[in-house]
Formats: sequence, C-alpha cells, structure tokens
Amino acid sequence: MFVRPRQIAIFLCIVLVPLAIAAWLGLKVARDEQQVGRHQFQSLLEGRLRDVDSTIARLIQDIERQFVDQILPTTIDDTRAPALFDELRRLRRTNLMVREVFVLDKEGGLTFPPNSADASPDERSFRQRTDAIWRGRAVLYEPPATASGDERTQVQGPERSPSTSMALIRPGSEATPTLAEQGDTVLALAEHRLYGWISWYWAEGMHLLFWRRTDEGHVIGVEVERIALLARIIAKLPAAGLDDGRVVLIDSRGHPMHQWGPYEPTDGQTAAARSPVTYPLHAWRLLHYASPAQTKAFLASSLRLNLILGFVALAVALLAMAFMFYRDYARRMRDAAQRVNFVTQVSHELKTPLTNIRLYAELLDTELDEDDERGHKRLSVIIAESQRLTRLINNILAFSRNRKNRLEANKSLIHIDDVVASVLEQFAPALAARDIETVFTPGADTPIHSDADAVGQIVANLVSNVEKYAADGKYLRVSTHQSAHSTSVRVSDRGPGIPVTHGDKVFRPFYRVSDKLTDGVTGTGIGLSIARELARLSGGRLSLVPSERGTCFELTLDRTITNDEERA
Amino acid sequence: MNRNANYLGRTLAIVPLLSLLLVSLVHADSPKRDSSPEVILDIDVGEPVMLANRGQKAYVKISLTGFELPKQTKRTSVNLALVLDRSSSMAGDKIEKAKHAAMMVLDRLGKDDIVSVISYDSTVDVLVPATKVGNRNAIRERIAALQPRGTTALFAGVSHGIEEVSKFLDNNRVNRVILLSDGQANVGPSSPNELGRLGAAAGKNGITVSTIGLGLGYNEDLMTQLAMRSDGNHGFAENADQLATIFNYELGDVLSVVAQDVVIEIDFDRYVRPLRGLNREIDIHGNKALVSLNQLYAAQQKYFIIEVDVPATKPGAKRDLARVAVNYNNMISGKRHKLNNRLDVSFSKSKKDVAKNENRTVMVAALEAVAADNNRHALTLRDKGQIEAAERVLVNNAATLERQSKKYKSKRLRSYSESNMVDSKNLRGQKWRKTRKKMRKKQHTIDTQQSF
Repeated sequence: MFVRPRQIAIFLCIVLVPLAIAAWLGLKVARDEQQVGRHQFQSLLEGRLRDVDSTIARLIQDIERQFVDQILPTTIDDTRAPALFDELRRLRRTNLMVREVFVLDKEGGLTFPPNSADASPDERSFRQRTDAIWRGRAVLYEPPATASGDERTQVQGPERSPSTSMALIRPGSEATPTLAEQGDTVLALAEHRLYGWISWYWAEGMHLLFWRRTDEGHVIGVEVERIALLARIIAKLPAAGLDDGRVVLIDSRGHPMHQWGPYEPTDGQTAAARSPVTYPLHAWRLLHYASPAQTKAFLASSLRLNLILGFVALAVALLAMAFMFYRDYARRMRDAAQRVNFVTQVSHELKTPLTNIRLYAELLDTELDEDDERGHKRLSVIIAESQRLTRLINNILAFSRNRKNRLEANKSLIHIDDVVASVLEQFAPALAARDIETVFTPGADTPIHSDADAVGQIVANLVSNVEKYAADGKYLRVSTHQSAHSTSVRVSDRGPGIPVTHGDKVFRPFYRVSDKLTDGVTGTGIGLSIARELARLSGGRLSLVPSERGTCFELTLDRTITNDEERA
Repeated sequence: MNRNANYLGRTLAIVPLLSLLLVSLVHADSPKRDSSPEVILDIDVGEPVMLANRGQKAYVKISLTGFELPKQTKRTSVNLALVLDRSSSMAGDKIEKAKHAAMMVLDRLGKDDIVSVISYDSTVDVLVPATKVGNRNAIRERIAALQPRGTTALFAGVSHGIEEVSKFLDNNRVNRVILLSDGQANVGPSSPNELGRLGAAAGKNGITVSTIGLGLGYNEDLMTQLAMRSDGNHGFAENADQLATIFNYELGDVLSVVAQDVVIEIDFDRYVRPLRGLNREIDIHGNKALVSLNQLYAAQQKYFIIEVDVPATKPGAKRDLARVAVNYNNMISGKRHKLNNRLDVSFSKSKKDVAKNENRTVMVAALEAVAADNNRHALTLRDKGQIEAAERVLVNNAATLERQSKKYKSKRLRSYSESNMVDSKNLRGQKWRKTRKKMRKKQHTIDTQQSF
C-alpha cells in the first residue's frame, strides 16, 4: 500500500539480476567442468582403446616377422621355375594366412601367378584384382613415422629401415599413414625398404598384400587371407575383461567386426571415444561406448553441489537485503504519508475557522461606515490575508487530493476574463504593497466550458509566484486570448526569469530553482505542480513560455463550445 | 664213397642257399616294421572302355576308404572346441537341449582328450579354455550356467573356437570345432563366402569345423560353407530333441578318425585335360589336380569326382589316364604314409563293349553329384523368386534321377529322385525355410559323403 508498482519492480530487479548473473556464471563453470570431465573420461577410454590397438599391433608385428624370417623365401634364382611355382602353391595350400602368393621380378613383371592356361581360376582372379597395383595406378600408403626413441617397437633384424617398424601408436600422437608419392610402384617402394604392406579396396572390401624384397631385387609376397587375420585378431582381443561399457572394432564401412563388454549401446548412441587401428589396418576403428552409469559415475562432482549451495546462499542474502530495504522504505513512506496526512488534517481544521474569519470580515466590511477609511483599510488587510491563507490551504488540500487521485474538475460555463479579473482584485493590495505595476488585457469574452475555481487557483498561484519571486521586475502583465479552438491566459513578469536548464522541472512538487534565489522566501513549493494538474483536469495545459526577459507562463484551455453555449 | 660225399657236399651247399632264400623271404614278408592298417585308395572311371575316335568327357572317381579301428588300439585323442550359440533366440527348450547335448559329448570324452567350451551372443565368452577333460564336474557346471541373451557374434565365436583348438594343435590329435547355431550371424563377418574362407583357413591348419543348425532360423548357406571348406560335417536339427542324436553322430565321426592331413595329387595324361571337380573343390593346374581332405573316418569312404576331357583316340589303344599319389597321417602308426594308384582306359569302336564295361558305382556317384548341382541351381532360382522355374528344374531332376535309378538299379538315385520331388512341392510360403535347409543339408551330404 505504501509501495508503488515501480518500487516493487526495482526491488525485484535488485534481487533477481544479481541472482541471474550468478546463476549464469555458475552454470558456465559447471558446464566447463563437465567439459573437462568429459575430456578426461574420453582420454581414459582412448587410453584403453590404445591398449587394445597395441595388442593388434603386436600381432601384426609377429605376422610380419614370421613372413619375413620364416615363410617367404629370401632368394629366388629363377622367377619362372616350375619348382618355384610348386613350392609357392604348396605355401598357399598350407598356410592359413595366405590367400594367394605372388612374385614380381625386378623388371616389374608379375611372374606368379602365371598368366597361362596353367593358372587356376583363383589365380586368374588374383591377377585381375591386383592389376592396378602392378601397373602403378593404385594409391599406396607409407606407414606412419615411428616415434623416435621407442626401442620396443623396433623389429630386430639386420636390414630394417626405420620407417618399416610397426609403430605402437603412442598416447597423444595420431600417427596416420602418409600417401606414397604418386606413381610409386611396389618395386620403387622395395628399393628403399625391405618389406611392407599394401591395402586396397576391391569388390567386397579391403584386401591386404604383404611383400618382401629378395636378395636379387625381386619382390615376393602374399595376399593375406583377411578373414584369417581377423579371426586371429579376434582371438587375441579380450573376450571379457570389461566391467562396464563396450568396445567395438569396426571396419572401413562402419560395420562391427567384433565387440566385447557387457553394455549394449542404444540405437543412435555415439561412441564416447574412438581410436584408429594400427597400420596397415588404418581404415578400421576401435570405438568405446560408455553406459550411462559409467558416464554418470565419472562425471559426478561435488562442484555442482557447491555451486548450488553458493547460489542458494546468495539468493537468501539478496532476499534478506531486499527485505530490509523494503521495510526501511515502507517505514519511511509511512512516515511521509503520516506527515502529509497530518498537514492535510491541519489544513482541513484550518479551513472552517478561516472561512468564518473571511465571512465575518466581509460582513463587517459591508457594515462599516463608508468614510471609515482606516477601518476599511484594516479590514481589507484581514480579508486579503485570509484569502491568501485560503488559497494556501486549498493548494495543500488539492495537492493531497491529487496524490490520492481524488482531484476533480467541476466544469461549467465560465467567462475567463471575469475569473482573472476577480483574482487580480484579490491580489491588488499585495501587489500594490510591493510596487508591482499590474496590466490586464482581457481578450476572452466568449464563455467556455471549464472549472472556474480551478482556473482561478491556477492564475492565483501564478500571480502569487510573481509576487514572491519576481517582485524586483515591478511588473505583472496578464492577458487573455481566444481563438476558435482555445483560450489562453498569459502571466508574465520582468523578474529574474527561469533558466532554460530548469525548464519543466519547475512544475515538480517542492522543486526550487535554486536555493540562492529563493533564500529567505517562504512558500510550500507545490504551487506550480498543483497549477499544472488543475490545468490538465480543466481540459488544458500550463506551460513555461520562453521569453527574453523575465518569466512567462501560459495557461491554454481547449475551447469546447456546445450548441447550448452558442445559443447562449 | 665219393658219390656219397658229392651228395653231401651238394646238400650242404643247398642249405645256405635255402637259408638265404628263407631269410630273404622273411624279410620280404615284413615290408613295414609295424603292421598298421592302410587306407584303401581307388581310382576308377565311368567308362573303362571308351568310344574310340571321339573327343569326350569322362568322370574319374578317386576314393579313399578308412580302415576299421583295430579292437585293441586306443582311439586317437581329441582336441575339441564346442562353440554354442546363446543368443536370445535360444531361450527355453533350445538352450536346455543344447546344454544337455554338450554334456553328453563331454561324457564320451576321455581323460586324455582336450576340450574347450565357448559360448557367444553379441559378445564371446570362453566358458572353458582348452583344458584336459580332468575335472568333468567343473566343466559341467560352467555349461549348466549358460543363459541366453543378446544377438549373434558367430564369427567371433568360431574364431575363439579355432584359437582354443590351436593352443594344443597336434598332428596326433583330432582337432575339431563343433558349432551350434540357431540364428543369423549379425555381428562381424556374416556372409557365406566369408565364413567359407574362415573354414578354409581353419582347414589349412588341420582344424575341421562341423556345424549344427538348430531350428528354422539359422543361416544354412553360411553353416554349410563353413563346414564344406573345412571338411567338416553339417547337421540340421529341426527341433531341439534331435540335437542329442546329431551330436552323437558327429562325435562318432570324431572318435573314429583314422587318417588326417590327406593330400591327393593326380597327374593326368598329357592330352587329358581335367575340367572341374564335381563335388569338391579341386586345384587344377594344367593337367595336374590337387585335393586335400582333413581326415578319414573308420570304414567310411570319401571320394571326389573329376570331370576330364579325353581327346579322340584310336580304337584298341590304351591310355594311361591318370596316376594318383596320396600321402596322409596314419593315426595308428603316427607316421606319414604314401599310397599310389593308376588308371588305364582302353578304346573300342563297339558301343556294346563300352556299355558292358560301364562302372556302375562311378556312374551313380557322378550322376548323383550332377543332380546335386541341379538341386543347387533350383535353390538359386527360388531365391530369386522364380518359383515356377525352380519347380521345373526340380521336377526334371527327379525325372532324370528316376530314369537313371532304373538303368543302374540304384536305390540311392531313386531316393534322391523322391527327395527332389518332395522339394518341388514345398517351395512356397513358410515351407520354403525348412525345404531350403533340407536341400542344403542333402547337397552337403552328397558332396562330402557324410555318414549322417
């Protein structure tokens, strides 16, 4: 009741805005920490995947070693000898990792499998699907560079060149195979390397070749039976050993080839971590799925709880503060209201006695002798002063009623000139006492629809102000005009004037232009504000007119003439 | 008395001669130090007397028959991996019967055998890593605890089975994986071709994979390819009650292996061209052919038929058609043995001669193999949705077989004719699933001469 909606809005802002900022900051911190947590989780899972990958890498190394040291012949005297063919065919029949065997002589021609009627359908099909490689039209990849100093990964042997070691991919380094130079053939690769892998795509998927250089500079190799390799990898990978989550080994097309772990990922779930498989299976990937329980357990932190507690504490503090301000404010508003009430009450009490004083003074005035000059003079002072008091009380009461929105206008048909004239008559003694020359130029004889008391009070307040502040100008001029649409009353003086900077502010209640100016002058400070409000209620407005010298106020009343008025 | 001395001298001279003879006879009597039984190698041709002056095709049948296990000998120890499907489709009766069958297998194994049990659903579980069949109860417990769940990682299951067997891989053991599945493989490689390649790879190492399909939901192409390429058996159990029987048959074979790692090389005459193998995969290079079998079972004959091109030959001539050399691991002697045989054909202008000398056994086997090929063709047509065409092929096949069964008085051909007729009537709707599995099983049985 003592608090206006605007105040409530301000209080809410004071409480809510800092809370909102705190909440936003808190969320940001919590989210950042989640991010960090997620990254750590991801790193942990990636580490596990790299462990798995190193198992695969070791198997690949073992296979390499077997091929280079034991299985593939190191020398070939005649690349077309039938005995060689028999031996190679036997190798193919007995070694499960070997799908086909091939021999490239040092001129680059494929001598085995032979391009003759002797060849079996399988051998012919091998020639067909590897044709692009021998012609140098396939894209070949070099293995990734080894991380230097990693002794464990170096394959023992006399002729190993560094780039052929199967690097165990160290944590933190994504070693990807690099593209061999365009147009490189296997022979070109064999010139600076002892052995290597080639993977390429044909029909149903990925194919793998392993080749080794012979002492004479020929190349002998095998097409690896990919299925057998996969079976061996699967057999080496853990069948169990994961207490939660799931790891999946996928091929280049994203199809799962093997998986383990108790958790079954939901449809559309993305892997929490992924890692490529070691060369030459670099098209394969290892994915780690985390169960919700796992993720939650890892990411749960006390930070969130702390943030929430802090937030709550801040909210409580702010609310307490706001509440205290509110109480203080309310108290002061109450006190102010009480004071206003008191003043209004006093004015009310004063009004009746004052009316009596005026009444009896005016009666006495009529009953006095005509030639009792002194008596009349004395009575006129009493009447003028009591009128002034009345005006003051009216102003106060009007102010109070305005604040309670109970100020009303009582409209009737009035002659503005008459109203102005009666006001000036009231002030005449006071103005004369101050030596203020008064000029009245009437010009509004057509009656208009307005509130006589209100207009009177407005003019009275303006004139009173001139008397109080502009007496030095010794001049007061009141003029009225009338046009088709409005009636205006101008009150101007030649006093010190009101500086532009104060402009509209003078109409605010209790506003003083400057203390210096009004030092020693009394007054409630509500005159102009009341006058403006009354002007508005009467259907017009009161404004300060810019003038070169002194002050000029203009009261404008919109003229509303009814048919009755016209006839009248 | 000079004549007497001469007589004595001559008699005395004969003694050392006689004894020499005896000794050499004795030596000749024992060609091998041990008297282990031998596998019997036969090579025959459909028409031992061929029509002269005409290039023509001929069917050459090479057969190997395992010998009976001598009564006193210990049978070969076994290195066996049981790979059991525990996907959710196995729930209920199926998993119970499977567990029961597995335990029955366990009961028939001895202390010296090695067993491992692998179960798979969407992941693989090595229930019992390869171990000697010592503590049977512990193994039984693990099998009993199997519960169904998840999808089917068949490839991974078989891979682990092969790995477990490889741990104790031994020439002197029977190295075997038995796979039981009731569903489609859906994790990992799952095409028949890929599983076939896995089978071939296992076979190269001497590991045979036998497959048993349960119910109507398993992938028969995949299962037969896997078995075929690794020289294993394939069984079709329509419902879980049949599992025990089939496992028993399979184990019967496993426990009766008499020869392993059988390599057969055939050298044909220079002008004779081998075209293709009818029922098994044959490596043909020029005029050499190469086949290998993982094992031979006691008293069972395994054969393969090669179609060859014989050029026109003058009447009265003889051709050294083929020479075959076999070497294998004899499980009784523990050594590698060699066998040899050869085949001649002669040529005649008289058709009656040709007909009179026709080798009925070879012809029946060859015709059955050809019919199996036709049966396969009908299956492919039905897969493409061409039901009427498939029906026609099967009906024709049945009719041809019927005719041939009369000509050669063959019960085998008659029974396969009936089988084709029944198949032709069951190609539509729900019946097709069962028919397809039956057809695949029968094709496999004919091609591999499976005993059950």
